Amino acid sequence: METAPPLLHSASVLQRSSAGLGALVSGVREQITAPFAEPTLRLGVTGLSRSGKTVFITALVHNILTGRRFPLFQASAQGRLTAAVLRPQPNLDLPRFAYEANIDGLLSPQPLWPESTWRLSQLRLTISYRPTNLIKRAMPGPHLLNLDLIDYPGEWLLDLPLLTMDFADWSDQVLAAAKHPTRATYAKPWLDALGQMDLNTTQDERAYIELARLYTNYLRACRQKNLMIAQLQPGRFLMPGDLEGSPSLTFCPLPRPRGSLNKSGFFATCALRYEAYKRHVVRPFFRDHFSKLDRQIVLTDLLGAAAAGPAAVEDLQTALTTVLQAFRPGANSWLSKLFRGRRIDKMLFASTKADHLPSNQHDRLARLLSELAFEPANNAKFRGADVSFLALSAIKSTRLAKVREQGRVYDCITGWIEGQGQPKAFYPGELPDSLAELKRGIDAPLAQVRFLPPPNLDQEPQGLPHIGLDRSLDFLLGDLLS
Amino acid sequence: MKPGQTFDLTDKNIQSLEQDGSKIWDTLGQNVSGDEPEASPVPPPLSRPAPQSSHAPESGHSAKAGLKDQGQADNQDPGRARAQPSAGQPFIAPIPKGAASTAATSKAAPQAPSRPTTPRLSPAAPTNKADAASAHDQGQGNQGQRSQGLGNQNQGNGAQANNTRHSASQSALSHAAQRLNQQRSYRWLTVLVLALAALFVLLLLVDTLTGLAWLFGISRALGLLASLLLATALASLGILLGREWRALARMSRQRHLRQLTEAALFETGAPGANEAMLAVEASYAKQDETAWLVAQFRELAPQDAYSAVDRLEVFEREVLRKLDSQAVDLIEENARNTAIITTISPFALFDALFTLWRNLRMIRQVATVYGVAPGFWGSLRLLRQVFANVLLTGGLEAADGALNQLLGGSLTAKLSTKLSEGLVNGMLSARLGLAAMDQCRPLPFKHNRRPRLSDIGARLVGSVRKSIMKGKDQR
Ligand SMILES: Nc1nc2c(ncn2[C@@H]2O[C@H](COP(=O)(O)OP(=O)(O)OP(=O)(O)O)[C@@H](O)[C@H]2O)c(=O)[nH]1
Ligand SMILES: [Mg+2]
Repeated sequence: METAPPLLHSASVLQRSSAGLGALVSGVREQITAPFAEPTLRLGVTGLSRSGKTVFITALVHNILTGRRFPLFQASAQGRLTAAVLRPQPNLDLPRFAYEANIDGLLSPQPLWPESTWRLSQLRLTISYRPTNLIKRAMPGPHLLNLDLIDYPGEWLLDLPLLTMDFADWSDQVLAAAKHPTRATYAKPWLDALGQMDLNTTQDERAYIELARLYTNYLRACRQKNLMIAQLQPGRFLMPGDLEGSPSLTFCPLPRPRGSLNKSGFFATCALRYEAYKRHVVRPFFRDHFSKLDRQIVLTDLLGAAAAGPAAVEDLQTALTTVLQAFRPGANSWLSKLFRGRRIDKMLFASTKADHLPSNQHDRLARLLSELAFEPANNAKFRGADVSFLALSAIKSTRLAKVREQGRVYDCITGWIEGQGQPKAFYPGELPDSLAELKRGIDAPLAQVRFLPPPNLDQEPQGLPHIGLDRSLDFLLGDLLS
Repeated sequence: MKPGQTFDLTDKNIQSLEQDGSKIWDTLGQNVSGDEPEASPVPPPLSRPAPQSSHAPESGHSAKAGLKDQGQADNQDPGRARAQPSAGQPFIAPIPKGAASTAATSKAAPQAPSRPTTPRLSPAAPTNKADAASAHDQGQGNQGQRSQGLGNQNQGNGAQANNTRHSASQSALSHAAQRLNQQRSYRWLTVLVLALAALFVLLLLVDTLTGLAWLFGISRALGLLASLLLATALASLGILLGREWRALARMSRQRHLRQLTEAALFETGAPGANEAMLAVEASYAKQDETAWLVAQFRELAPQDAYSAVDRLEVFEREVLRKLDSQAVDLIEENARNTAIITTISPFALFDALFTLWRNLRMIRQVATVYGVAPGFWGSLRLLRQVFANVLLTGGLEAADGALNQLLGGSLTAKLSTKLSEGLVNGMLSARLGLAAMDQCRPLPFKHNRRPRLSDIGARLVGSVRKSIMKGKDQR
């Protein structure tokens, strides 16, 4: 763990920026209008890139819109969800989440997963339900709950720790990490270019562009190899959104120059751009979309990390821990809402793509996740939030099979493996019992394959197959629909 | 086998794509009853010839042998598909499709997996007959172990006492001691009764035989007729006994199930949850009345998406909720009838007999709702257990107390003695019914609310009042 970034205070910049009079005023306004406004839940779907956010949101919306019955989602099992519709989203300046395109892709004859997300989008799902709560029942209906969801590229999440670091500190950290033997080969072109440059002199814009390009290549290589995922910063380098080519994206981490700093030198300019990136890109993103969450589901691709090896597991843990430090878990009461702003009172940690494992290992997967996320979970619990862990597959694309070989029976899964025309049975191996073992490396690593969504998903009699989606919804929404 | 290894679905070593729980039960079910820890994973009707299944993928086979393998597989697979018309609808092509893709049927199986068109809620598969029989055998085995003597029975009761939440431990203790004393004096009584019974049977036998001989002496036809009648009588006796035996076996199996599920639900780490779930599922899938519920349940919570503990929860919420409400309806109806009859009947003896009969019937009905269907002896045994339960937990006082609460002390005093007697009787039979429910349920109450005596009582008082009012109006 040589690259662990300095601990952030959980009372992060966000909190500082939103504290004070302004927050109090808006808090008071919210308290006063709350009983009359439609109840709204801002659900934070949090996850690094490729962790399954888009698939999760799409599946959630589809399942609720189609009114399918979920046995473990009580409101649904009891038939109290009367209807749901997509309604105009609250932020009119944001793109709408491409729900229709995503679901059409999944349910088409040649089903496909949604594309990797490249920009922010939003969706509001409004659920109408029959309450059980006596007070609510006494009020005239219909009883509605707005569910606000946003989707964004997972890469951007990793910018969060930048808010508490200045340019020099961040550079030191990145440079130290780049020297690590597993990454040195990928970092070499960029580091070589750095070595040939005098950082304290004024440089042509072309130098900025070139170095930023080399640095981005290094980040890309690391991402591809599942290396150092905790530090793939700045996130917009990998997923620029609509900022591609702007000066706030043309810099890179640099070693501290010796001697006095030239105010218009390369280093100083990069530091300026870094600060601008933080101010104009990172902070608004988090202020607008993460500081007011009510509940959070943290999606983690633990299986993918396990398949990539012990270093990836370490990195995933570091990333989770640092990213989650910026959120504000805690119990809500009307008084605390007034004075401290809203807090995340329920946090669900989900290990996604659980359909890559036979069902008898799902418990183990959830247990491993609870070890991996021990620190952030513990912090949340300490502050009074509800925490839960589970194995999740928003769209289950595999089925179980037993394969017999030399007298032994193995639990395998079958499905359409990407790049192969016919469904195949696949033996995923066994997860170890504890995180320590996982970090030591599994002697037979779970091979990494991608299963495509199976055809004719929409013809399933009970709705899209899933693992743990109903438990998740019950945990996240259950009490609000009571 | 190495992680990451893939197989074609046509590979003959692939045994089952789990489409529903029933196949799994075939293999694991034997595990559950503790017969054989490692049962053959290939269920008999599906098994392929032994030498083939032990082979590694066919590398050394001649082309001809390979072809033959395929042919056999093809012959078997459709049969398998037919043997399982029930619940699960595969979304990935089940084996038949994979196997067929190399053979002639491939034209009929297009790219998209075909769906069986059997109705979704069809009752249990015909294959279940065989396994019902084997389960029955196991049941008999259990029965043999269980009926080793009174001592064993006694333990059973003790365990129940432990299970009941609100056990008044002191009264339980003294009660147990009393029972022990009673048993000592009963032993000779038992011997006496048994000896007399044996004597009676012997006399009967001798008498019948001599009678038969005598009839044969008179006329051959008469003798034949008499022997025919005798044979019929014996056969029907045998059938009756067999039924009783089977019913008893069912009950003890149910008790075993309950032990399994209690361990799975209440002990840390949920030991044996998987086995418990499969056993419960299989047991209810076998019965015609509940097969469709189980089929629905399997679609709702398929085995490869829900953990065993979650499935137990869904089972309780979905399947048992329906059975529970049926049972509660029965109990309420019975309590009402008992209360009314007791109130209006002029003869105390008649009340007593009527109540006893009604209660016995109710207990049987409740048991039948949960698929236990006790025979005659089973009902008696159940009645005894239920009574023991009610006595041990102070059910009588509870019935009285609840009634008092409902009516308010002053009101009880004002009611006619007959009416209050009737209500107490009704409450008591409701209490018995609830205890029977507890005895027969395959899972303990966990996610469903346990029906409460006071709720039933409230409705009882309301309906009795209403019907008596009506009676008065008519008069
Ligand atoms: N088998 C299976 N694969 C899944 C599931 N959910 C996600 N995946 C896989 O994970 C990939 C990424 O899922 P996305 O939902 O696009 O992930 P994301 O978090 O939105 O990723 P970014 O948009 O890049 O941040 C998909 O392309 C699938 O291959 C699932 O439930 N089952
Ligand atoms: Mg996405």
